[in-house]
Amino acid sequence: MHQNTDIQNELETISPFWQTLHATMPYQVPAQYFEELHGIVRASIEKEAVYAELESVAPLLNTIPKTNVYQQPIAVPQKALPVFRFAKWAVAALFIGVMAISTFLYNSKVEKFDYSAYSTMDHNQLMQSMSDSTLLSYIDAHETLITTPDISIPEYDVETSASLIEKSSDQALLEYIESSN
Amino acid sequence: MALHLDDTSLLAQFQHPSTREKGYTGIVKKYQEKLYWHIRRMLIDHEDTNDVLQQVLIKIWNGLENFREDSKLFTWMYRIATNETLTFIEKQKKRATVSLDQGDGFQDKIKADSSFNENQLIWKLQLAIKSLPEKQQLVFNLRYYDEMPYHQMSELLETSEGALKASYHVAAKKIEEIIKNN
Repeated sequence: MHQNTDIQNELETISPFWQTLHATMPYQVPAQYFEELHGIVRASIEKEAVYAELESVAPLLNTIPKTNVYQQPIAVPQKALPVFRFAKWAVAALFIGVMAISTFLYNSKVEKFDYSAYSTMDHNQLMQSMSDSTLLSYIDAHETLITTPDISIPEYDVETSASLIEKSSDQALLEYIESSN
Repeated sequence: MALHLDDTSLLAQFQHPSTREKGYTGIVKKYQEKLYWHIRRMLIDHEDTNDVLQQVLIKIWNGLENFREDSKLFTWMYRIATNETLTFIEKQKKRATVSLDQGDGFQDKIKADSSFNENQLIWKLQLAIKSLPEKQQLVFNLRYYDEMPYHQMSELLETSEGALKASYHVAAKKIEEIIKNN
């Protein structure tokens, strides 16, 4: 049966046999065919344009097959590319560079110490303001840095002293006592 | 179902360089199925149809720039499709003659279809159509399946409407006879 009644009526005037038939096609079309067709045709048009362009310039080239004549090596271990040969040097240079930049940045950030402040500092007042425990802990921590004066007490020889006194004149003894006071 | 622009708008798009691609795509999407089935009914095989249809669409791309609207776009495209298909059939026939093949092979192609069923009327109709002369097949298909008016068919095939009508009627009677006798 046709949707167009004119065509259906025309067929029925030829023979009532056509009433039994439907105008449908039994053939199948691959899935997505009509969705993909336009893209395929556009690719063909481009290909044809390339061919036509070459044909107008150098037609001989169109007669040469566009097959790849080169072959890939079969199962041969790949040699290291030259770039890897220099990689270790590149890494070393990079490391040195990083270190140099880090040092430079670190040094540029260290605060400049104002040593002149020590000259005006009142050390006695500073020491008095510190607690004993603070001073002791400082001494413990810096024991090796603190140089203690070597105080040695000479042995006192009683006999020698007595003989010295006996030998000294009264005048000398009086002068000594006065100078000691 | 996708909505399509009218032919005049599509042609206007094609004529403008910035919308040329869009116009062509619109034309292809609008008419590709109709053209496909027009060719497939003559060639039966999908692969052959695909080859011819691609050639037709390339010719349409190449010819659209010079298309004059003194004929309908659809009729112009149908003419290209018909000529390309008939040329393809001629080439196949020559090849078959060289290889001493018997017949044009279309009946065999129908029977080779994966969903072919000789007991179904719809398949009997396909076999019957393929037993007609080429021109009668063409007229019958355009009228029966494409429901094309005679005046449009006349423009397409450059034959008088009266002759086409007579051809269609003769074809319909022959088909009926073939189906009834098998």
